[in-house]
Amino acid sequence: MSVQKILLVSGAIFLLHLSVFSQTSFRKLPDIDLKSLGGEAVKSTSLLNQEGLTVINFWATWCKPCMLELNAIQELYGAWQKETKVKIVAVTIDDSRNTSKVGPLVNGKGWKYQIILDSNGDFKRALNVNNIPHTFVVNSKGDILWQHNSYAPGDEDELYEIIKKNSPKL
Amino acid sequence: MPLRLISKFFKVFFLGLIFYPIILFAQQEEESNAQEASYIHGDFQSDAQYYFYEPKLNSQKVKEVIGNNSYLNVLYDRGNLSGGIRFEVYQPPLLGYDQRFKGSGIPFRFINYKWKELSVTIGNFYEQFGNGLIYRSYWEWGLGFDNSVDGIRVRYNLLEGIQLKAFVGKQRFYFDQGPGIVRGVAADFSINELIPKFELSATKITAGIAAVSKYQEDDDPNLVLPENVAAFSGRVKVARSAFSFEAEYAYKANDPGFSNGLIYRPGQALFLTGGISGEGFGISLGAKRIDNFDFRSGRNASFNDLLINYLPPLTPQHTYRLATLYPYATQPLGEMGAQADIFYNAKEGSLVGGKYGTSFTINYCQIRGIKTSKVIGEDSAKGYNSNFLDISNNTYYQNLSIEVSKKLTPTVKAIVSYIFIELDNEVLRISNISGVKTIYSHIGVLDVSWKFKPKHTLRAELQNLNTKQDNGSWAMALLEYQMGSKYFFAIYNEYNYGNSIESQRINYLGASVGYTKGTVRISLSGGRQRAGVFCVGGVCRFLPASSGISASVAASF
Repeated sequence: MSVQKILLVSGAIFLLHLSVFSQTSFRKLPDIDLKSLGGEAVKSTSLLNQEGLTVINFWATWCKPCMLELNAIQELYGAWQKETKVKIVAVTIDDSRNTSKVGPLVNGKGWKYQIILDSNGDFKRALNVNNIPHTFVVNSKGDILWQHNSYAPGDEDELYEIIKKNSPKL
Repeated sequence: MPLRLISKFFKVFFLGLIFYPIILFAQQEEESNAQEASYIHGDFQSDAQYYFYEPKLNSQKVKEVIGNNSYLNVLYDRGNLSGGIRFEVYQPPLLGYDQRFKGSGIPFRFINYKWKELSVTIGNFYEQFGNGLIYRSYWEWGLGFDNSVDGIRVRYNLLEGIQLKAFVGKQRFYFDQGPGIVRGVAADFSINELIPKFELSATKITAGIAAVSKYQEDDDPNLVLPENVAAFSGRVKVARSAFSFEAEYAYKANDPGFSNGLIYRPGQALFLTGGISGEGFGISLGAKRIDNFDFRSGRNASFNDLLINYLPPLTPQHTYRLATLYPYATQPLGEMGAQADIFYNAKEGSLVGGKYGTSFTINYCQIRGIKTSKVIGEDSAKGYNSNFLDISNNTYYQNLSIEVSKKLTPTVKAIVSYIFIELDNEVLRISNISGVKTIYSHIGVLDVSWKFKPKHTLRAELQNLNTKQDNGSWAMALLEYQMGSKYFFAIYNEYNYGNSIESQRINYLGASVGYTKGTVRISLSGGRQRAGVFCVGGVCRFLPASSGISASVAASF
């Protein structure tokens, strides 16, 4: 076999592999018992938005980049909702030390996200979140389409590209 | 002949490679047709440091030269079944982590199965009752903290609005288990779901009761020690859109142990929190009283070992580097405290808000000891008496912080912060310099970020900490460059310019580079690190001064 042939064959093999892996079924959002700000039990699967995508963002009151990210997204959230019907769920991993601060802080910042408490990290561990912020994009069936760790100013634009690309056509 | 064989082998190999995806594809088709797909997922982190020995820093000499802490979690889900293991390795542990971690193993593994309303876990698990006053097991990798219970846990949703939990097992102790058996039951109620009249009410009422007990054999030839020690708690929470209030009370039977000086006194804990908020503002309030509430599954355990419960501190969690110099650690033997936080957002265009809006965060807290009187005579084993509302004059910790955050132009943001911290060093033992009693420190921070191009941000921090006690004043400067969403560079220096010993006026200069893609994060840093106390949730770990190069990799899949 000539070098070109080998390259061609290996290229073809690579593409075939890629196509299979890209078709791998998505992981479903695990079913975990969580709490609302008011203290009521909420199932993680009930967070899913039926009209569009759901963005699940893990944050905490002591995490500076998390606050930056959620502040930045808040400025764009209205427009995102209008264009794609996306829903954002902000899951705080704050423990009982800070959970009572979450409501006043969220109102103080004027955030319009659905707020969920994961006080002992059950949801965080089920989704293998080791550092925050950590963002997931999930469709209405619960398929986890995309995830990203950490935040740099401007990452919200990339997140919106992902949302637009995967949102059901209105 | 061998050549032909080799070429034949390659042909088969290549054919296999070509067909393998097709076979795989067919299998996946089958799987997706079946109802239950399986998923393997996990996360990984490895932190390593190469240590230079610099006697000037009073750093420890690491004879292995390199320290490393790593873990890998692998979890498997299929329908209602899930399971997982965590492998950990410390060869040797990084400086500041307990040497008893040295080695490797699988300290965490579990299997869980769910039948509609019933969930059963065998192996290790994390769980929390209420705010954790009588029971919380959790994992905090950065702190080297893991008090998972190895045993069995059952959760059952009895009916809409009633959730039951029960467990029994032994706690993790490094790569071993603690001596005591821990068991507990809890019930959580949602009044709105239970009473039809309240179903649609905007006021949400939830409540909970719990009991936890531990057993440890009395192997002391001289003392009669209680072998079974029980603790109880009850809590209620009322929330309505703009308002919330929660109270939890806990009681613990007498529990003599190393940590409380072997006294036969029952313990009590009360934790109150509340909040009021509206569009653009929020106030959060908290108060608590802790009396002899150190609860562990080993009588001789100390520091962060074998803790059964979690006593949330009512102090702010500072993130600016110099403000972390004087942290607060919960005093389980006795403390009283109160805290208030105010969040306010002045709208853009308003007088205070200016063109782009301004946000304010204010915190004040004060933690004191409890007033006690020693019991003498026949009942001296009970230790002390303390009236519930008697506050001691001894202030353990006080914090006042004001932070103003403002967008100056569409691309420039600034944060100005002032923090005052008063700390009783005889109780909190942050400084090991003899004679340091109370430390008063004033901290100022200026944090400016400039997004000079889309996805390119420069950020600078200037900090100053002023104190006459301990090691004297400090200054810090940091410059950070976020290049796109993937690369990150930082250079920083902490300078102990106020140290009374001239040779100890050290510059702690360091730099770091980071790379993030998807869920993979790699960082490399080098330089000096000052001694400090690293805390998460009021649980702290001492980090000695060090110098060297460190690398960290984290990923999830």
